[in-house]
Amino acid sequence: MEEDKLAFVEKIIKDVQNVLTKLSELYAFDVVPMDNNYQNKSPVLYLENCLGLESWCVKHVYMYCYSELMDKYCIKPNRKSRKIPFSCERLIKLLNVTLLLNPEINSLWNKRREMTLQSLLDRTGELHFARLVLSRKPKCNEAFSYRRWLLEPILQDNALSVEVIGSLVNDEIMICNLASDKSPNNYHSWNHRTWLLNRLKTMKSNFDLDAQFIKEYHLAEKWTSEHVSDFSCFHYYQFCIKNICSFSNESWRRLRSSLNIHLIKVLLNIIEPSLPKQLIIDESDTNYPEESLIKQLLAYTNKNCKCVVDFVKLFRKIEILFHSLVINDELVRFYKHHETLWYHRRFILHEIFLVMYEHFGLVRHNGSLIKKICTICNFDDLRQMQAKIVKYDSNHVYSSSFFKIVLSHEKTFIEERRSDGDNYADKHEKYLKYVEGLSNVI
Amino acid sequence: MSFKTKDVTLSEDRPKALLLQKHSDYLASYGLNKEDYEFCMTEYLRMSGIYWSLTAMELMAQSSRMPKDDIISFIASCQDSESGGISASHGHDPHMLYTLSAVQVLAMYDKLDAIDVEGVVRYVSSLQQEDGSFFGDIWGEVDTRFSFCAVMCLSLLHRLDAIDVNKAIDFVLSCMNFDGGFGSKPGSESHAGLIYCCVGTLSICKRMDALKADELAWWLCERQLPSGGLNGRPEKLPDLCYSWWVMSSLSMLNRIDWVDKKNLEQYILACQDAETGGFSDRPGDITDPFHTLFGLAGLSLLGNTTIKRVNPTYCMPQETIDRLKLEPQILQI
Repeated sequence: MEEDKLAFVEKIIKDVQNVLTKLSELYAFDVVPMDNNYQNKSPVLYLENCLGLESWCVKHVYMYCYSELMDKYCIKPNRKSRKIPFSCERLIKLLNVTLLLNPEINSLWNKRREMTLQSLLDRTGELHFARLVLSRKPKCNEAFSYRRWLLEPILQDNALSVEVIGSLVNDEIMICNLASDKSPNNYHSWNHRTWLLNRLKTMKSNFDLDAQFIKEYHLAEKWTSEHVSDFSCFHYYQFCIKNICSFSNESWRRLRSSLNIHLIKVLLNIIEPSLPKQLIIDESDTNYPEESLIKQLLAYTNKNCKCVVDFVKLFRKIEILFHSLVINDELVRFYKHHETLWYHRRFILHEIFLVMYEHFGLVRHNGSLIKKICTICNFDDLRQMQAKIVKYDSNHVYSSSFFKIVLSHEKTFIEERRSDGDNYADKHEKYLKYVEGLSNVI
Repeated sequence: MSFKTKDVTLSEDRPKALLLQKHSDYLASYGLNKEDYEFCMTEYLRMSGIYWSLTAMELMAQSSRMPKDDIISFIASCQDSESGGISASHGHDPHMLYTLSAVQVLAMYDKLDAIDVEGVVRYVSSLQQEDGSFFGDIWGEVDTRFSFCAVMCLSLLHRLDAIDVNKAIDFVLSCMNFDGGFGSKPGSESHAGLIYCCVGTLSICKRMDALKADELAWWLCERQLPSGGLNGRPEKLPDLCYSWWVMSSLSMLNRIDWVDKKNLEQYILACQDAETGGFSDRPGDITDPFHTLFGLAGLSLLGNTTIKRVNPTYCMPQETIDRLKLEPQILQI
């Protein structure tokens, strides 16, 4: 490279580094399309807490930084003599520029990991840097993965205060929101979010995880209704639904009061016409007769398992699934032809059928219903031998009020959508028949 | 189909015949300019790049156009003597992904003795975790892709005994979703690329029975769009590489006839660039070796006889898999 060109690239590296001294305040980085250097001034832009680099210089700068990194800092010397004989400051500058421009180079993130372990870089600053990279490349899994690596030891500290955890969680959630918003169907941002919530479950702290799950549930419900083609957020919504189903009474009460609908009302709207009069319940009463309702809906079970059934939790699960089903009804009606919405419907129905099969002590295997071997009470070895069940048993499921209500809801809905020209309605019917195994009853 | 489906339209002047000579020329000259910016940007995955190019050339019976000796010595020089793992290129860190690519290339060349095989076995098995999952490298990211890399790599070396295969299978199965699909981690969204990895793992370990085959095949077939192309997740655009991930999975499931093969073939052919050679993700985009391999491999699965038979589990020529006496499982129905 000619001398003046070289000096110019060095100036760019220096200018970028100067802006990066305010890393914690930096909001975003991007390459700004600009064909030529018209004004002969620095291509490094700093405006309203955003760092920009004019595109005309990217190739030169990248090639220069990458080559020096590889030649001086990455290629191993002949024998093991790697005790950082080089300038650490220089290395950081080169890593910053190179990773901002090409954040998929895992080995360079590894360099930062090594330097973090040697305390040559600090974790907080590194979290800022990874965030800056994500502002330009919201799908960059290397940056998400680096964040997880940085956070792991921090979260292992049992003495962490609730406030600190709260602020770490807020940062991650905010970053995920931005990344999910910038890039639809962002596999990595929603995965990262799931990781965070699951990671928090394993922590011994007073952090109010259920409150976080309530927030997440609301966000997912809202996000999915605003991004009806984004299955990644629907998948996260499903994760939230599964998690709130195991809430304690106290958390469930909080969730219920945070909703702007009456869960029981939603459910009753659908099931009430099929219920006997004595079971009609007062919506304002918070003590529902869960057990008798479920027995009424699903009828007698002959399952050979002695485990105690938590009817309250089971009932909540039904409530929340029906709530989701009703929202889905509306979304499918409003936004036609969206595979994602119909896929989510499959999930809801699958979960509802699972509840029923579970109640009857059944499980689907290779397309047919068989008796479930309860691994907890496991009381009758002989009976478990007869795996295949006779048709009588599946008729038992199919003749329960609950099954009839769900099936008739689906049939009516499919008919309605079909006549409105949504051809996913046909697909849905076929799916229920051949994948959910309901061809006998549809 | 509905009017709102996210898809592409194939134009009338698209390539309709297979341009084998063009593709061979394209791959032979790819990366000759090592000072090139693109070449420099992709150095971090060089080893996989070699695997994509060589496999594509092998399938076209043109691998003699690749610099065999240079490639073999390059691979040997990328092995880390300490860990035994192999990196994408000089100066990069060893990783499961590139260790697999290197082993695949050497297996095709029948030159596995060019590297320290014991070192590779040591590296791969050292990355297995208590729950059966695999790290991608020492830094601890877990992904079902790495499970597949580990199992495929060791099977090519006939050293599956070096890991706990049952635990590896259990972990992969813990990533199965209600729709029969798989994601990158337990609880992750189903994704056609990761489905290929998980089905491939079960195929190598001969545990295809553990799949929800009907659910999974149903989901996979729904990836086909009106243009004939396949996407990897609901409501995403078609991408040529899913012709491989989806079709190879369906092949292992023995249900390849569940898609419209004619339409898919048209889509794959339309992704060729008649001028530069090579295939791209969608018609009209810039070509690259990655999509070139998966275009050719997809056509091979569809039964195109001008291309050599590809093995759906390994994404390598069937003749290599036969020579190594490997018998990955295909589901019997």
